[in-house]
Amino acid sequence: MSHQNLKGWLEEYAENSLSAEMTQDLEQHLAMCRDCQQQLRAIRLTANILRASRLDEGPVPGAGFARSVALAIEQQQESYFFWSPLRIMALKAVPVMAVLAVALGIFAYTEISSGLNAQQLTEEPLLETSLELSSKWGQEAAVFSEQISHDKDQVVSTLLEEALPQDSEKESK
Amino acid sequence: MTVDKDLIQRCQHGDQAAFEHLVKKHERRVFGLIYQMVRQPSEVEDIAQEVFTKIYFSLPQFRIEASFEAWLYRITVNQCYDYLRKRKREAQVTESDLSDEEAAFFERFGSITQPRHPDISKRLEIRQTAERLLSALPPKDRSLLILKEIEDLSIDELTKVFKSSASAIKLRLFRARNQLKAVYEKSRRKEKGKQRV
Repeated sequence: MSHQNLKGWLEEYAENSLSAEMTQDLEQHLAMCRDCQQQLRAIRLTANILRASRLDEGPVPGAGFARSVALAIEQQQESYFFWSPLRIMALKAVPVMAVLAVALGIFAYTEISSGLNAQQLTEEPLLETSLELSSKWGQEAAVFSEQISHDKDQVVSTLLEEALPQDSEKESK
Repeated sequence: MTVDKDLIQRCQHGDQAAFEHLVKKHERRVFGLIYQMVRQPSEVEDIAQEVFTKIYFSLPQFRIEASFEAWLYRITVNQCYDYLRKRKREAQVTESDLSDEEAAFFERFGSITQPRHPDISKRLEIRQTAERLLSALPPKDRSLLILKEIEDLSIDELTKVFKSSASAIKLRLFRARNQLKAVYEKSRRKEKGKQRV
């Protein structure tokens, strides 16, 4: 028999509930095992401390204690039975609510994931369209600025033409 | 035990008189355990009333083949924990002095019966010292030791009260005892140090 097994018998040994054969085995082991001797000392010492702490004169239940318990129960029973249908309903509702919560979670997850997929699919054409648009706008802007510069040249030349004959007339005079 | 089963079955069918009979049968034991745990005489009756009320409302769920006494102990111990938690009268590391006489008294291992000093005032002193030493333990360990050494519950009965295996109960007892022994030895060292000075 191992030391650990024998050490496990010490509580029963202290409470005198070991068989005669086990007691003999343990006592033989105790005679040479310091660890088990120390543990048996701890068991006996603490048992003595506990027994010495025992309070002698405690309050004893009065003759009407059982009746007062019955009265307290009657008072509590009213509220207990008033709330009990609601309590039963709440207890029944818990699994239903749990199933609903799980279903809602799954639904929300699938909705969000499908929404994300759809967004990923539509993002690429949008990008293409925007690139096309920006390039178109760029071309238009280039044409417009070219036109403006052309128009500006025309305006300048017209103004010059209008101004130049007047100057030549002045010189002849 | 069969009387209890009969009473419980009658209670489960709504027999109020049977419940009062059940209370009368166990009230003394419940009062005693509560007193040893909370050590406040004025609180014992209120806690006991809560214990029996709880038992009444839980009786429909009680399995008749289970141990009623173990169940009663479990509910009582839990009710005491609640009370101690509310009062926050938790473990305080005690470094009380331990006289040679008190130490000799605690280390008298010859007798397995409860040690009692013949002098009443000395007995009171020893009890106060023992209480101070015990107050260093957490309530769970203290209640386990009270059930084992004051209520004299066997390992087998403790397994039913705490719904644990015998090896788990022994391990908890081992730790609780060694913790209490360490507090005791610390107090002894302190006293010896004083004597040298």
